[in-house]
Amino acid sequence: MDKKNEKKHVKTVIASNLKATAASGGCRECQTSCQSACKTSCTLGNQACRK
Amino acid sequence: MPDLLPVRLQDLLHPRKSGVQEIANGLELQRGRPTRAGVSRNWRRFGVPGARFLLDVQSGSLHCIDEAAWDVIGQLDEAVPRGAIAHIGADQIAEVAHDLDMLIEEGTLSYPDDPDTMPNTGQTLGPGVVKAMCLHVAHDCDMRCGYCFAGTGGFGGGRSLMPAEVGCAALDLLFKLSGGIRHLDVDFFGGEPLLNMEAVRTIVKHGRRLEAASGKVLKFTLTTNCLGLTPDIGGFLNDNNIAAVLSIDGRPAVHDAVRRTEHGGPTHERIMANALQFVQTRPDGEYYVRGTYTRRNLDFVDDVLYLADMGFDSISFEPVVSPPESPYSIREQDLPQVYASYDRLVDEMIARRRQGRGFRFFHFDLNLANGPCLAKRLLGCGAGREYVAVTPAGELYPCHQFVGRDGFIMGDVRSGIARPEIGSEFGRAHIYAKPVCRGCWARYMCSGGCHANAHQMNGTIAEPYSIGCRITRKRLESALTLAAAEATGDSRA
Ligand code: SF4
Ligand code: SF4
Repeated sequence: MDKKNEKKHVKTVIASNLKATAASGGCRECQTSCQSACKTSCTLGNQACRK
Repeated sequence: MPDLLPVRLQDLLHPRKSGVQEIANGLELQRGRPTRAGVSRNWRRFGVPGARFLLDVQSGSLHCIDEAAWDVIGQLDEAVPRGAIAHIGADQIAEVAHDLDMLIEEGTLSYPDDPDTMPNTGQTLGPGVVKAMCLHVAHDCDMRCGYCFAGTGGFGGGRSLMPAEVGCAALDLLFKLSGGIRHLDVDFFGGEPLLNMEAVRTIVKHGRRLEAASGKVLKFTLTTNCLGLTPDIGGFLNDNNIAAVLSIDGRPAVHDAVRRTEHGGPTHERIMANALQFVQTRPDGEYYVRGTYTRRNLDFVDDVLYLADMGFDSISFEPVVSPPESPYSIREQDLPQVYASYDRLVDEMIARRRQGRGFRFFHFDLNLANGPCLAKRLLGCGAGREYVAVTPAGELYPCHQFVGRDGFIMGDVRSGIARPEIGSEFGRAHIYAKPVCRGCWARYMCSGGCHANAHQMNGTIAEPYSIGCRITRKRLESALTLAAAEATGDSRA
């Protein structure tokens, strides 16, 4: 690896680019996700994007 | 106190480099110095013994950092005195700054003061696209749980069952209001939906017909207390591909202390037998065993592990929803114990996964790399807009928790949505609109919390319920820790 690009103190474990998803207003095909404690709905699953 | 950083890293770093070194170089450069508020809302450091992490809030990326990076970032975040990193040495500090620069270049670290991104929402946020419904098929229950938010089934009203026609009309409305959306979700909820299985069967059949005629995909979920979960009903759920949520509170004594029959008898033994029998019949079927913890079992981690030991591999546990004066509600002074339970749960899950006997814990199942888009995260649960609840009489409410609350009836299954302004109000209560959420590092993963809890505790949907926030943030940190442990293949090493 190019030394300049080497990182000594940080290691990325999960690279995500949430900002890039702002380009759309959302396709809305994802599951609904109740956040309340009263309801564990399998319909929210682990919230993967369906696209 | 001014919100500028009292420590100027440029005193310690080489002058005039890009990125974080630019940050350090202060005002004359393009972006200026980051504010402490910017650092704390966009860079979240957290640690467990032996491991340290940095979450970049805006991109959603997760980084493992070493002690030097931890301390240097700490300077920016908490404005600790310069002396506190004196032991690190200028070389190392420059290296850390270089590394952070690289991350910024790669797009996995935001510049601390970058403004929140606005999604390009060309579509309306009002209630025009309902795509999920909660059908209260039974406002009645065969149990009497001490903490039940639904008033043991009646939601503050009389006991009643939903006629099948109402449920079918609700589905007709759902298919109509969902417009071009293909994936629809319907929950059978209560009270106890198994008390009205005949209607459930009819509604499912109707739903499958609508599905076939429209090309849409309809996903059903049923939440049950398992008391009446017979093999026959289990077979129906399996045959019709219906996801199940099974309510069990864990250890027998914990469960039986709260979850009683109508006549006050214990329920654990029967429920466990029914649930285990059912789960064994659906090796691939979706289910969750979900428990409620209260201030009486702040050591709920033992209940989670008990359920895992019993053979359930999809588990969820949630704090009770009850008014502050209730003997069950979680109070401020209970939080350290709640936090300790989540910490232990992470340790146990890592250990068990290594031993090949891992299980899923719902709230730790974050999809970090391919989660929902920003537009969805802004608006959260979708209550009153994309999601509505239907009472046995056919009234529409923003969600199951608002059922029975004054002023929240939005319409009726037959005539549709009569008060779209309710949905619009929920649509406006997004994370950028709530001052406390705007500054919160958890905003894109929490999406602003539960409107119903906020409304119950603070009388408004604009201000989240603070104890809920603190539990949410702890839970998210635990989830991130677990995700990092998995991604790196080690735990606390
Ligand atoms: S509801 Fe609470 S935890 Fe969630 S984003 Fe808002 S302030 Fe943060
Ligand atoms: S308002 Fe609360 S209970 Fe209702 S759907 Fe949203 S998160 Fe769930």
